[in-house]
Amino acid sequence: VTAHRFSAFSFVDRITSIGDSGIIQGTFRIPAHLDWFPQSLVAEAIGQLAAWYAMSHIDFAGRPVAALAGQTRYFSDGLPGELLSLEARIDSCDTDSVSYSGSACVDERLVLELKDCSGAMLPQEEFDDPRCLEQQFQLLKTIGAKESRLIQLPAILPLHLEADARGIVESDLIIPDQADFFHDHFPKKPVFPATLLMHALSSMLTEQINRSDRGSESSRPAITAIRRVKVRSWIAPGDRVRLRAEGLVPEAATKEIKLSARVGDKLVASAVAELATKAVALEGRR
Amino acid sequence: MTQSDFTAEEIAGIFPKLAETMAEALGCETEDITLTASLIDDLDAESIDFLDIVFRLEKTFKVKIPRGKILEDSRGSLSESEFEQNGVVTSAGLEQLKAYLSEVPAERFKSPLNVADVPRLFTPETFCKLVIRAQRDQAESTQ
Repeated sequence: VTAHRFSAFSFVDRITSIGDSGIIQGTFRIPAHLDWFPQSLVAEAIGQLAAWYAMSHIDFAGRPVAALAGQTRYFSDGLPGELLSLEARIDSCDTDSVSYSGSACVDERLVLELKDCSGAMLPQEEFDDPRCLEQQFQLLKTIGAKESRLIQLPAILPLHLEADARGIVESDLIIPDQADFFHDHFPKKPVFPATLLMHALSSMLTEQINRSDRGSESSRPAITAIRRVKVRSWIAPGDRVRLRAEGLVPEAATKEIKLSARVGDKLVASAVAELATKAVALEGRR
Repeated sequence: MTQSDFTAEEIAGIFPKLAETMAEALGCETEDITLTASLIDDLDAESIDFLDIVFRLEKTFKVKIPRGKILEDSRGSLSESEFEQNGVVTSAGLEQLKAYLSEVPAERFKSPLNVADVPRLFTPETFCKLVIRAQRDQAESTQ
């Protein structure tokens, strides 16, 4: 077990309740020493909570891997020092797959909502040590893990952003050969987390919006939801991933942007980002 | 009518909505989805697409489809060891499979057939039948 185990990419500090009804609740304190906390990692925290439920349900013989996320809707930011209250509602769970929805709140404030997520359950032994996970599960259910274990956010930045007049934006993402998060994701088989991929795609899109839109912040579109995430293949350490966003045209107030990621010719993931100006997003939340 | 009997009307009743759902999952046109197309060989489906398709069909048709249901049901009354040996479908397994996947043209059943290649046989009609079975199960359980 390395120093980064259950630290570098583990976003549940405590499991506060887990019941036969398929609802699991927990908490994660966003470390106060961070400058910010990406929404994709809030989604990761909910997914990890659902994964604890799913793994314990089958005695840690299998683990879910991110595959499908119907809708991830952003409501507000989780700020450094804040305590995220996490909840996952398991729709179905067996040795083949798990389906769930969930949410994250700070006090009464909704931060993020996940709907219609589903992942295939794969043999645990290929990824991790089942007994080690079981011990961590017991720890999370009882005294909880130490807060603020995460020292720094994963440094994932797309390179060489290219945009054209048709509204297509592309850039490369080089997956490092080694990174702290691979100690958690996963010890026996390092896989680039899908939530970090979504973070990279979102960062690329946001950067292009900021470059091209000189208006005020309230009139500038921002990502309000990521829908129809489908992860098709593993992304491994050292992979070069071509990120692409299509449909970034300046006209409409609400837009849908097609996101994709390829390694070589292989489509490894796709999603749709929903954009709205702050004013439209606030209207939609009322 | 037994659980394994399906009328052309039943299949035709399911197919339009199923084709639409599958096209969304596979990112292709609804017209590309034909009853007899091989999901993997003709429509480029991957394993994640099967999970996506089943998930979407559950929502569209408001039924519960246990994951791995096709493979499990396709074994029929055969035990796992009667159905496959070392990852290869036995001859008894192959006959069972042909009966279960009666919609699949006979020439697509290769011999020897690896268990891992069984999903290559699946067609949209296979999934029509899956939905109809789920609807029947649901109707039975509410009676």
